[in-house]
Amino acid sequence: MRSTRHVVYAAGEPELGHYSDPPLLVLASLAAGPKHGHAMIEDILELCGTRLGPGTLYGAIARLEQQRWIEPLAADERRRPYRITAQGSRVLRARLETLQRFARAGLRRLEIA
Amino acid sequence: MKRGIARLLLRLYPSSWRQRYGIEFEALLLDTPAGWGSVLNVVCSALVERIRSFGHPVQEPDRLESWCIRAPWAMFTLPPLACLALCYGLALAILWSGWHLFLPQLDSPFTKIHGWAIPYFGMGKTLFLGAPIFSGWWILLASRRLTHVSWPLIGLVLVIVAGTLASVHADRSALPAAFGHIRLTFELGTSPHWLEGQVLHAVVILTAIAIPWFSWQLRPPSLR
Repeated sequence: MRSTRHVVYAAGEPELGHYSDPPLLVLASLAAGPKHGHAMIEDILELCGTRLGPGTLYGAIARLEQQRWIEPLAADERRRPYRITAQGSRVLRARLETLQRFARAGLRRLEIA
Repeated sequence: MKRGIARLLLRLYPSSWRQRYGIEFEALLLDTPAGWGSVLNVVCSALVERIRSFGHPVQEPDRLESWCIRAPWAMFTLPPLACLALCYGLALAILWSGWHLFLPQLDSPFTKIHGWAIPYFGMGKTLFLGAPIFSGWWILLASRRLTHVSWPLIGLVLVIVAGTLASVHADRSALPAAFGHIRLTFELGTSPHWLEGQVLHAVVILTAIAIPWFSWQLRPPSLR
């Protein structure tokens, strides 16, 4: 399930939806350093205003771990932190560059229009 | 979220998933504010994990499972339909014999009964009503480690449709009166409330099929 909720919008910003790609959001959160589940949810909320549901978050974590884009660290009591791998960093960079090109192209078209 | 709710939600996930992520996921659920949104999110995610787990057997499949993987088209249609036919056949035999044993003077066995006729006909009625449910249990049992869900779904639909459309008729007019005549038909109704009744019947069958499965999935840790 890829649903997200409690989106925080800037004042006056029209509610046109929000960015919702849980694996990418998790990778982006872990790019700043290892985190456990709850810390990731809070970080992603701060990063882009999207609050991932617990099921969505762990669905993304399971997929990312299978693909070896993130790896678990030793558990801190019951909470297990994760960190991004070198391969995960490359994937994240590639995805963000694609998004950046897309955003630039879209903005250019708006300027032309 | 309360620990009891968190543990109940966790049990919705496949056991292999729970073994890997159970402890940390429960810790996250305990940190998550309780609400319908969170519960729904976890339930939907658990369903997704269950569907995904179909393709990843944890252990070597046994003989039944390996046949279900090799020939799902046969294993999810023929045995359930054979089970239906057997149960219906036995139920009709009980009805016919009970009619002659307990109600030989009456034109129909569908009447008020007393004494030993109650458990005797009750046995037949249980077989008749239980036939689609027993077949559905077979399908769920056999589909534990299947790589896809299409054939079990087709089997379930066949069984439920047969179970809802089946009806029994008895009369003494078609054959010499001493024998009586019992027929099993699968027919579509014409009355305005027919569809409503059939849908309700299908929901009852589906619920009866699913209850043991959910009970097994939500069993307490002491029974694992």
